Amino acid sequence: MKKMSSVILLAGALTLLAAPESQGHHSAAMFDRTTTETVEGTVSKFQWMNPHSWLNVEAPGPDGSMNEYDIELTSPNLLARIGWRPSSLKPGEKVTVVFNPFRDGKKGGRIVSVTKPDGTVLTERGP
Amino acid sequence: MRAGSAPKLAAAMASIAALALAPVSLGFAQETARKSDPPAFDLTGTWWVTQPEGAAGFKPDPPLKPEAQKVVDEVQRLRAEGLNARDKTGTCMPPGLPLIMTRVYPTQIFQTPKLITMIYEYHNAVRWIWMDGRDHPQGEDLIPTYYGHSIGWWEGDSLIVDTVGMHTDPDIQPGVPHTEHLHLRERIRLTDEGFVTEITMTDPTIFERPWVTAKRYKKSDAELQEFVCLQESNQFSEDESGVLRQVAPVKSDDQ
Repeated sequence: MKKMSSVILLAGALTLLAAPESQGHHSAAMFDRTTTETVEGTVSKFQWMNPHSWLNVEAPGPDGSMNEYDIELTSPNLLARIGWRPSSLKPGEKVTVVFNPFRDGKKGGRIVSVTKPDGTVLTERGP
Repeated sequence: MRAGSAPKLAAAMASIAALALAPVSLGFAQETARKSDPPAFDLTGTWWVTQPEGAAGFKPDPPLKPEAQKVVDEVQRLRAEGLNARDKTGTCMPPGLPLIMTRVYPTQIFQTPKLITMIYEYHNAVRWIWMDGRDHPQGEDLIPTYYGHSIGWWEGDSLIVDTVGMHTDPDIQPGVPHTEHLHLRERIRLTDEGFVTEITMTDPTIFERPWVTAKRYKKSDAELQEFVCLQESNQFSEDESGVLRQVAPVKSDDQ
């Protein structure tokens, strides 16, 4: 049911995945761009706001207790240009989120992709 | 571990503040209205800074004096720990000039004979470049602002833009501080894909010699969008040492 995994990605692949805006931006230092984690959970909140948008996902931790993951995305303007809308993710939706984790151990990180049950994949390259 | 970082950064900045009080030669204060050549081009339109240089700060690295280098070194050390420091945009504050040139968002320019207006989508920032022959305000009349006071004139194939009076709150780029003596001289020329602005930054307290850098822009059909940053809903705030800390945002009803 719950699945968490870490995958080492090549630097070249990271360059392709990272949104242009995020290169050298303030948040870059906070995330471990060499690793991804995957969480299956439920959207609790999607905040369409500057300077960065945030997705909150509730998912069971290894011991079965519920955890909330904070996932950072780029700005609303840049998301809108590639097709995202404030309604792209709604509370209650089941999602699988892949992210570069926070380096300080907090739960969550920077978005790599969000996949919905119908197979829709949202990334910072467009939905 | 992190507690030790605060005094170092604060001490380095205190040294810079003290040095900035020393008398310096204010070259820009002597800047007088220039005799302008005819306009060489029209920048009216929408432009986008080119990648990857656009988002990568200003290159090459600045020729820093030792005190300023200490600030840069400390910020780099914090980044290696996964911490951001001295990054005002992360806390929703205006980037100001010249940092706004590193934001990868469109810029809309309106050129008229006596005024060139640049609207940056990022932070809804506006820059007015006065082309009517006026000088910069002098002394107390030069009130610090985030985007400074800009005057411009034409030299052959180039638009020259001279900017002073930039607020010291935002760094030039995170970790590269400046004083109220920061002076920007831009030489803007057309390129095959758009235009390039060669930027010469001087600040006697910070740089050993003028820092020459550039940003390139290409024409875009993007339409600008509103960009409002609300600090009360932002996720990060700066602690006393300039390190960004995540804070719980206010619950928002506008979802």
